[in-house]
This record gives sequence, structure tokens and C-alpha cells, in this order.
Amino acid sequence: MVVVNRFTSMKINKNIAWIIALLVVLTVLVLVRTFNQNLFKRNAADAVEAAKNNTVTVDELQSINSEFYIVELDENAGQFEQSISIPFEQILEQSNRDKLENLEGNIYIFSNSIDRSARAWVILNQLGFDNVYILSNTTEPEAFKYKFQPDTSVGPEF
Amino acid sequence: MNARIKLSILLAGVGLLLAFLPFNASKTFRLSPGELLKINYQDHLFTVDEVARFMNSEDSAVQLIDLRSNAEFMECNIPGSINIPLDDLLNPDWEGYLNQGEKRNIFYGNGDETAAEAWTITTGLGYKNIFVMKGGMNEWYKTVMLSKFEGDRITPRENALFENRYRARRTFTEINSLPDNLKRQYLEAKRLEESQLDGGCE
Repeated sequence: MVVVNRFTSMKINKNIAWIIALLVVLTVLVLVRTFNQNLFKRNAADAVEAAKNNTVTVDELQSINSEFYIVELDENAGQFEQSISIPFEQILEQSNRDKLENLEGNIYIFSNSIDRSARAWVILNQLGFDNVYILSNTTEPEAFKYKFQPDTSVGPEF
Repeated sequence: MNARIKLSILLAGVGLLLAFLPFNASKTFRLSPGELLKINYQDHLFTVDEVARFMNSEDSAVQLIDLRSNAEFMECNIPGSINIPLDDLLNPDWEGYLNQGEKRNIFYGNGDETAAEAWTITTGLGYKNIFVMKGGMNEWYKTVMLSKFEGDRITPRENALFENRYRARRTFTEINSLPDNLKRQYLEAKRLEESQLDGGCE
């Protein structure tokens, strides 16, 4: 009788051990993903929301009183005095990421082609940087510069 | 031990893990930062002349997507476009249009900034076939709507280029000159056409 009892209790323990092992494996996987620096963990909607107000023009920089940094993403940087040069292709290198993380104050990223700074901005936003803005050398990069003139004398054929 | 108890312990454990998961995997970028950075953006650009050609031939393998506000879209847009303002990019209603492997989606804003942001977000989410019209609506207006051939002799290549632009210019002006209610009808008819196509054989 005792032998049978011990046998069943061992079986129970074995079953629970399996479940616990499975849960431990899952927990480890979750932890690995959570602390993996090479993955995005942020909700993509945060980028869409922050994009509503993420662009500052060079003129507007003059009226900013708090401390800020300009990061130039082009290979041939040097448009701004005292800017930090981090080529676009290298923004994810650990030393550059540390550099960005240690900057206290707003970071304005600049490139001669605004699509490059826009792409870098989305990547940095999704990596958790909330103090990064796009620096534009034109006043309103996303304004329509022309005016459509309707021509009512022509009608389309349907 | 009862199988039901085992199962409930397992489910409770997994549930706890999910509840404490620090991020929502379905809403985060599927590509890793390195993968996203390495994609050659230049390979995902179309010039305004190429887009004009798609528009003239009513290429059904291409979907133009206007990322500007609805007011700007109603004022003028490239015929055949649908309007998905950047704010509304992740609205589930649009996922069917954006996240598919058949048509090429070509984004445009007024400049290059909005389209590059939308491209990075959707490409990061793992959507295929996302492209950008280089220069946006401002470049379209400058090149397709306003450029004139200046010179004495036109080469056959330039001739084809300008013919393409003039044709696009005509259609653009015709469609965008319609009164608002007719324009809306035209856009709805366009959408209907597409949903019929999606339906397959009936």
C-alpha cells in the first residue's frame, strides 16, 4: 500500500515538474526578448502619435533656451557648429547609442535629405528615445507649395 | 492527477506571463532595428514620371496612397489615389490595403518627410510592397504639372517623357476640377471597382 502511494505521488510530482519546466522555459524566453537590445518593443502607434509634432526648423532653434544637441547623419557632416556626427548607417552601433542615451536635453537630427532623418527618427522613437526631433532646413517641409487651379472648361468622360 | 487541473495550472501560468509581458508583440515592429536600417530605401522610390506612367496606364498592380490631410486630398490628388492621413495609418480599416503582397503601395505626402516616416513604420511592421514617390506632391507639381520643354530639337526620348507628362497633367486637371460631390462619386466608384476585384469569381 505504501509503495503504491509513493509511486502515485512521484507521478504527480513528475507531472507538475513538467508544467513548471515549461513555464520556466517560457519565462526565460520572455526575459530574453525583453532585455534584448536588438529588438523593437514599443507600440508602433507611439511613432504615429509623436510624428504630429516632431519637426523643428533651423530658424526655430534660435529661440530655444534649454540645452540641446544637433546630430548630423550625413557622411560629410559640418553644417552646424558643435554638432555631433553619427552617420545614418551607424546609429545602432553600441557606442553611438550610448552617446545618444547620455545626452541630456533635446536631440535634433539633421540630414540634407529629410527622408534620412525621418527614417532615423522612426527607428529612434521605436527604440524609446522621446527627446529626438527632426531638424529641417526649409521652413515647412510638408507644406504644399503650389495652388491647384481648377479648369472647369474641361469635363472628363465617364 | 486530474488532467483538468494540470491544464488549468498551465493555462494560469501562461496567462500570468502574458499579463506581465512588457509589450504587445502584435503592435511592435516585426523587423529588428538592424534589419530595418539595412534596407536600401533608394530601391523603394519611384519618380513622379514613373507614377505618371502608372496613372496614365491605370496600372492595377499599383495603389497610390495620399498621406496628407483629407482637406488637402480633396483639393487635389493624383487620380486613383486613396487617402490615408498619416495620423490614421494604423487604423485597422486600412490594414487590408496596406498589408498585402499583391499591389505595390506608393506613398506620397507634400514633401519627403511624411512618406519616409510612413514607409519606415509600415516596413518595420513587416508590410511588403511599400514604396514612396520621391519628392511628393511638390515634385509632382513642379515636374508633371508645370515643366515645359525648352529647346530646339526634341529627342524621341524627351518626346515620350513629355507626352507622358502632358497626358497625366490633363487627367489630373480634369478629375481635380470636378465639383466636390462629383469628385466624391468618382472616388467611391473607384473604391467599388476595387472591392469587386477583391471579390474574385462570382
